[in-house]
Amino acid sequence: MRLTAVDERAARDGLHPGLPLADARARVIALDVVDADDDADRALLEAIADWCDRFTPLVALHPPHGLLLDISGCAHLFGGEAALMRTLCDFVRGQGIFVRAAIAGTSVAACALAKCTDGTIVENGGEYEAVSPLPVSALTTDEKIIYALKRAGLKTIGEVASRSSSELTARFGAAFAFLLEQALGRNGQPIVPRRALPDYVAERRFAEPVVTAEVIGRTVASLAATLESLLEERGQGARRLEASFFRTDGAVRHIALDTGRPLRDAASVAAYFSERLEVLADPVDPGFGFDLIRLSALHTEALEYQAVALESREDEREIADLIDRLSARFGGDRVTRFLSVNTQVPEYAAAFCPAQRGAAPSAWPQLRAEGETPRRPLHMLAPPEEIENALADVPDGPPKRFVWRRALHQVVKTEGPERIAMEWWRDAEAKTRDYFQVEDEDGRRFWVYRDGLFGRETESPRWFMHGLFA
Amino acid sequence: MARLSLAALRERIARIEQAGVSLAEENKKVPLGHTGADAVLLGGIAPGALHEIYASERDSVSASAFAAMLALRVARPKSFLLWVRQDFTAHQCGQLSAQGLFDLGIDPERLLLVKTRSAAEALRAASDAFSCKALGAIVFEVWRQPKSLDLVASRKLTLRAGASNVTIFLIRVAAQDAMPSTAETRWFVRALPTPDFVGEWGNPLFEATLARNRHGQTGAWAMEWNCDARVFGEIPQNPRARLSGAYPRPHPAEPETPRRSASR
Repeated sequence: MRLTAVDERAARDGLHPGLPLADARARVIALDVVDADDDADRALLEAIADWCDRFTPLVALHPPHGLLLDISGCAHLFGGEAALMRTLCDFVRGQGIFVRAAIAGTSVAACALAKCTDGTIVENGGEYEAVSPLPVSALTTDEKIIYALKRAGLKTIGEVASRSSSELTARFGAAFAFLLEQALGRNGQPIVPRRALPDYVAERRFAEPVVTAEVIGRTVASLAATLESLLEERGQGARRLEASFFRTDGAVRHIALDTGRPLRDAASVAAYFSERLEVLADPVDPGFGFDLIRLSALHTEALEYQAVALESREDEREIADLIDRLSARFGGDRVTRFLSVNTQVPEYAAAFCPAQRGAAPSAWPQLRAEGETPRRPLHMLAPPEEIENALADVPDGPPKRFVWRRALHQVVKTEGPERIAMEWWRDAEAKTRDYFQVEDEDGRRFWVYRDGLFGRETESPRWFMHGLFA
Repeated sequence: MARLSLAALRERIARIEQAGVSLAEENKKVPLGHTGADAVLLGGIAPGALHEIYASERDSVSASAFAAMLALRVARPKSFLLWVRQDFTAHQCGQLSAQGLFDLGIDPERLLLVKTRSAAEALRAASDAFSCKALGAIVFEVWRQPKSLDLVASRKLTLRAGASNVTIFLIRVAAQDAMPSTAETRWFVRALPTPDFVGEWGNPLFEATLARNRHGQTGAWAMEWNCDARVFGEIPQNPRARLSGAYPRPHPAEPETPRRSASR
């Protein structure tokens, strides 16, 4: 077992990551050892990244314990780059977390600087001078490369950069040469943000944290109005919205909301969010208050303004509104419509699909000829339930009586069989089913099937109850 | 079936021609197609009201079908039907089948299904839905006797149905006995054995007992649903034998005498 991380005091006592635990214990008698928990570390990093969303929507994780923020065009909102870095570091430090930061033209340069010279802000084009004196270990964590460079007598990044790029590529690979380029401020690559960049954002910052539900509700409504005007300018409507609540103590809560059609009407957006917030299993807890509330349209679609003249159009709009409202309250997967699936296997023939996902109208097969009675039951059991003591006159005939859910049913009338072969590409083991419609002496109608063809697929067929007819 | 719809039409015309019934009144109620029931209901099912359908656990599918059929009768053509169902009901009685609905003459494309975890949630969904006047009808299915569905809740549903003119059908499966409510009508439904002379396999048959009718008489009828004409009708009489004395039978959960006028 080796140390993975050490705190300040342990470092002062000469311990360092990578040291075997036994050695460390020998050096420091009273050593506190805690198991490494990568998941918790990651969760903490995510939480800090969430908080950093307040500065820029472009936040990327740089594992194991780094964050990259793209602050192009954002810094002036926070009083300049230096002030932004100070605000960020002060807050993170205030939470008891050790932090180092640097600002540079490329993410690689900023990382290298943050490792070695905390608080550096590199002016545009100054990366070469700033990064050159840093040790090569700031550039990469690959032990082999660091060792090889040291053996070659190249101790600083500047010395490495003095060699020609073809030499470095031949010795360490193209990836390393590319990394070096970036460290020196050339070939800057955009960071990969952890959250999708929202299309439109409206936010409000508060000098004093807000706590009451009323103010929060009014803020969301006014943000929705701002968002509406933004969306209207571009003729867009939101399909996915997100409200983010930034608490003063750093916790961030995101509440997402899907809509069934492009939406920008501020009143509806505010109403859906109030529905959503009301039914959350763990309600949004303001704690000591929120100092920033943001409403973003994560996904938008073109929304043409249409005159609602026709009655059917108006009806459809009302239905869509109802679907969105119910989905906001109960969840999108609980407000469903039927989707026809082209298969003959009864249990797969219809799927429940979220009603918000406007699908093309399904075509339902006309199994029943005109004048005939229903061929499929109204209630379908999922999965089919085995029936006991099914007794048939002939092995491949309908049952004369059976026990289902502990009740004996005497079959008076039967209809069938309807033979349905299973689809071998779903389940090669599935047997052919013979379906019968049977009516018992009380007039209740059932849909039962024999699993397997007698004699060919099975010797002792089992019977199943699959549905109930009206 | 052609005979049935013709009979229904004749009935309708006859009632329009009656001096006593105003045209507005006629437009208001929706005939079931079953002559006896329509006569007692003074023209049919009243829209914009609460109607209750009771059934035992074993007859839940009959109750679902009966409610769906009433909803289809009441709903304007091409309008949507909202069905609110508890997960527990689906678990106990089976899921609603789209093809099954289609075979009964109900378009699954026009059905929205809301699945809720609890009866309280279901009640909330059903009450919320009244704000959408474009709905044809609401079917609200509950299991047993949830506490949330008391007289106050029932009155609220009635008021909201009246205000929005959206009809709501409340299916109460496996309720021990009738709960106090402000429903316009209360039905007890069960499956009816196919009479022997009908042949091998006939249309869906119900024994529907109208146990309560706020504006009229009560009664009990044997009904048949015609899946093509989408209309109720009388069970065809046996041309040779007399009607067997098997029905109408009183429902075991039926607390009131069927002929009593219940206009509380």
